[in-house]
Amino acid sequence: MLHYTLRRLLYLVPTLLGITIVTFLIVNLAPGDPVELIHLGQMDARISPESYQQMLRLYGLDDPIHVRYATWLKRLATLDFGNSFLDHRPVIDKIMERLPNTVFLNVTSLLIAFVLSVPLGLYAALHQHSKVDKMSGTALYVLYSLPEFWVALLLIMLFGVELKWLPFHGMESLDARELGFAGYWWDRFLHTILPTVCLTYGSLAYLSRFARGSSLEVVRQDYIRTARAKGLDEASIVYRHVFRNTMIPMVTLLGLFLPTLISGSVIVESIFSWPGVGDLFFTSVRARDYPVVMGLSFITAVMVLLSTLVADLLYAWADPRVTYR
Amino acid sequence: MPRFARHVVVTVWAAVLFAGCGGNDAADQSASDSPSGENEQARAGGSVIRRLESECKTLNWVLYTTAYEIFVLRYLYDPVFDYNEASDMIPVLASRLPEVSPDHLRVTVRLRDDIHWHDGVPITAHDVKFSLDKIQDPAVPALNKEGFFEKLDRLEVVDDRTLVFVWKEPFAPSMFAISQLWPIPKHVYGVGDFVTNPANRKPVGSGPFKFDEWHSGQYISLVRYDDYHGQKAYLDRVIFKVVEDDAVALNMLRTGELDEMRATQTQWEKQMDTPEFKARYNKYDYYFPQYNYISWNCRSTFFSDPRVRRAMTMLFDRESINTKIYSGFARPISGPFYVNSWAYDKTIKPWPFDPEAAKRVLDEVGWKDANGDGIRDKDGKPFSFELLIAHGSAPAAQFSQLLQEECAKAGIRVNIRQMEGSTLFDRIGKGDFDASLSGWRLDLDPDVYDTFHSTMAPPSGLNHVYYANARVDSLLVAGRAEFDPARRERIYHEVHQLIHEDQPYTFINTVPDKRPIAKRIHGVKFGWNGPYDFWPGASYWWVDDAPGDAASAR
Repeated sequence: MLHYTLRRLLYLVPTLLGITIVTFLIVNLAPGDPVELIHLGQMDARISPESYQQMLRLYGLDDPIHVRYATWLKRLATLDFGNSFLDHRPVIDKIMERLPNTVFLNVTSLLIAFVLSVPLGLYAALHQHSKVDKMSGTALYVLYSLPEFWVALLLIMLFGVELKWLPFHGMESLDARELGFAGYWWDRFLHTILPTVCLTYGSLAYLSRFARGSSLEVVRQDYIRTARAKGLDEASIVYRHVFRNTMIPMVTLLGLFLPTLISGSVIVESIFSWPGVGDLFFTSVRARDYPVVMGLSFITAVMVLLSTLVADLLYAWADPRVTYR
Repeated sequence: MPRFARHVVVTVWAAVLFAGCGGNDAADQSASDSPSGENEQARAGGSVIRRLESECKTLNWVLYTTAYEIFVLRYLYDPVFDYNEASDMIPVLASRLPEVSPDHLRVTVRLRDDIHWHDGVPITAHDVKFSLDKIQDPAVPALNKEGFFEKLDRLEVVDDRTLVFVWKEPFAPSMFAISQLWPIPKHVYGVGDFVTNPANRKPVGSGPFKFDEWHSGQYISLVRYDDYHGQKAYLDRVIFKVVEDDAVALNMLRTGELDEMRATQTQWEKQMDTPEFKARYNKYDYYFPQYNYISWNCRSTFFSDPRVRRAMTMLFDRESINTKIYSGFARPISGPFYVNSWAYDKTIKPWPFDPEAAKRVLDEVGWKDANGDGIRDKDGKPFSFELLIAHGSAPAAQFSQLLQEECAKAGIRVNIRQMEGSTLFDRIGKGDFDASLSGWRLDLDPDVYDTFHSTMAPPSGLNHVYYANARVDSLLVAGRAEFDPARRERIYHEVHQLIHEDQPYTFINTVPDKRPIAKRIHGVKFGWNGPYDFWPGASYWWVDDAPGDAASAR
C-alpha cells in the first residue's frame, strides 16, 4: 500500500509537468496580450511601438515562449507564482484571499448534497416504482435541468426582494463586523444560504439518482436475498448490507468531486458577488493575466491528481476486495 | 498624444453636457436640485451606495486603468485643474487658471498654499512632478496617461508652489492634457517599489473623502475627510459595492442596497418603468462622448472605393435601429465627434437609408451579379465578407443581423463572426479584418488625429481602417495647433464633411447612458462625461434621510 502510494506520487511529477506545459502554451498563444488588454483599457490609447516593447519587457513577455516557461518553472520550484499583471500583487496572495471562500461554499454544498442524496437514493431504490420514487425522480430530473443563473435570479427575487428574508450580495453585510461575534456569524450564515442552494440542487439531483442506481444493483444481489432468507431484520439489511455497498461507488464519485471544491463556480460566484476563485479565474483569462491563470491551473491540477489518488485509496478502504501492490 | 478614443464593445455607454437632457423622466428632478437653492437645504450625514460593475485593481491614480477605478478616485483625489458642469476649465489644487505664454509653449501653474494630503503633509509642486515622472517611467505601466504628455518637453518645478509645463510645439489639446494630471503624494508612493506599494490598496488622497476600507471583491468604503481644504462634503460615507450582474444590481436597487446603477435598455423600459420604481428613483439619461460604428477596411478589396462604403451605409437602416432597438433613445450621427460639442457640424445629415440608390451605385462600380448566383461579384470575386463583432454584445448582434438582411436583399453576403473581446481587439488593432462593429469613447478635446490621420494606420495608431485622405491629414495637423476657437471649429467641421463623404466608418448612432438614482439623493449634476467624471462630480451629493439614518442606507 505504501509502496503503491509512493509510486503514484512519483507519477504525479511528469503528469503535472505535462499539464503545465500544455496550459502555458494555450494561455500564452491565445490571441491578444496583457499589455494591449490591460493598458489600453480596451484599446483606449494609442501607444508607440517603443512603449509597447517597454511594457512587454516589464512583464517579461519579450522572451521566446520556451524561455518564459523555464523562468516560470524555476520560480515555481520555490513556490513563487509571480505577480499578477493586473494589480501587481503576488498571485499566491490573490488566490489565498479567495480560495477559502470558494472552498467554504463548495464544501458546504457538497456535504449537503452527499448527506441528503444517499438516504434519498436508498429510499427510492427500496421503494422502487412507488409513488415517492416516481415523484422524486421527476422532481430531481427537473431540478437537474434548471439553469443555475435562472434559479439564482428567481431565488433572489423571491427571498431577497419580495420577502426580504435573505441577503444576496457578498459574504457579509456592510459593517457586519460591528455586530458582535454571534451577530457576525449569523449574518455570514444568512449570506451563505442562497449561493449554497444554487450550487447544491444540481449535484443533489445527480448524486441521488446515482445513489438510487447503485443501491438498486445492490438490492438485487444474492447476498441480500440470503440475508433476508436467514431472517435478518430489515434495518440491518439496509444498513449493514445495502448502505455499505452503495457507498463504494459513491466514494469513487466523491473523489471526482473533490477538485471542483477549489475550482469555484463562475456563475454562482458572480451572481452573488461571492469573492471566490471562479470569478478570479474568469477575469484573469479575459485579461490574459498569465501568472494568475497559471497559478490557478497549477493548483487545480495538483488537486485533481491528488484527489484521484485519494479516491483510489478510499476505494481500497471501502471495498475490502481491492488491494494495491 | 491624448487618448482621444477608446474602444468599447458596442454596448451602452453614453454622454453628457446637458444635464438630464431629453429623458422623459428627467423633468421629475425636484426644483431643490437647482444649483442655487441646494446648499441651504443640504444636510450633512448619511451615506450613498454606488455600484462597481467590476472589481477595482488599484487605487493608485497613476496605475488605474478602468472607469470603475476613476469612480472611486474622484472622491479621493483632487486634480490640479478640472472641467466643471459647463465644461469650463477651473482650478482645483491650483490657485488660478494656468498662464499661457503667447507662443503657447509655456504654461505656468500656481498651486494653492493651503492644500494638504489626508495625512496632513502639504501638497507641493514636487508631488505634481512626481506623478508625471511616474507616468513617464518605463518601469511603470501607465500607458493610458502617457499619451497625454507625449508633446510635453519637460515639467519645470520653479518652487514649492509653481510649475511650468514646457511643450515641444503649440498643441491645442494641451490644456485638456494638463487637467488629466492628478498629483499623488511623493512621500507615500516614493518609498519602496511603486507598482507593489501597499498604499496602492490603501491610498492617501487629497479629496473631500478619505479611504476607509476595501474588502476585495465585495466593497470599498470611503468616509468624509473633515479637514478638507475645500468645501466640506455632506455625506458621512460613500460605499462602492461590486455587483457584476445587471439583474442582481436591479434587485439590489429595489431593496435599497444600491442607490444607483447603469441600466440596460430593457431594464429602463420595463422593470424601471413601474410607478413603484419611479416613486423611489429619478431616471436620468444623458449623452456623453461616445458613438457606435461599422468600420470598413479601406485596404480591403471590397471597401477600398468610397462609393462602395457609402452604398454600404445606405443599405443599413440606422433609423430603425434607433426606433426598434433603442425605442428612440439613440441618436443617428454623421461624423466622428461628440454630438453635443462645437466640433460636430449639425448641418451634416447622415446618409439616408436608400437600398435602391445603393444597388445602383454598386452596379455602376462594377459589383454586378455576373454569374447569376444571387451574389454580386467583380473580377470573379463574390461580394461576401466577414463582419467581426464582439461575443456577448446584444446590440452588436442585432445591428449585424439587420445589416446582414439588408445586404442579402442587395446581393451581398455578410458572414457575422462573433469573437471574444480580446481576440476581436487583437484583429482590429492589427487591421486584419474587412469590416467590424465597434464603438469609440471620446475625450473633451475633439482631436481625432490618432483615429483618422494616415500615419496612424496599424501598427502605430488607432486608424485601423487605413483611412488616408491628404486633405484630412493636413486639417488634422492644423487642428491640433490651432488655438483660436472659431478657426478650430471651421477646421473640424471640414474634417467632419470629408469623413462623411469618404465613409471609412458607417456612423451608426450615439446611445445615451441611462441611470436611475435614488430620490433621497440630492445635488446630482452632470458634466461632459456624466454625473461623475467632472468637477465636483458626485462629491457634494446629500441625502434626505441624513443624519443618523444609517440603517436605510444598507
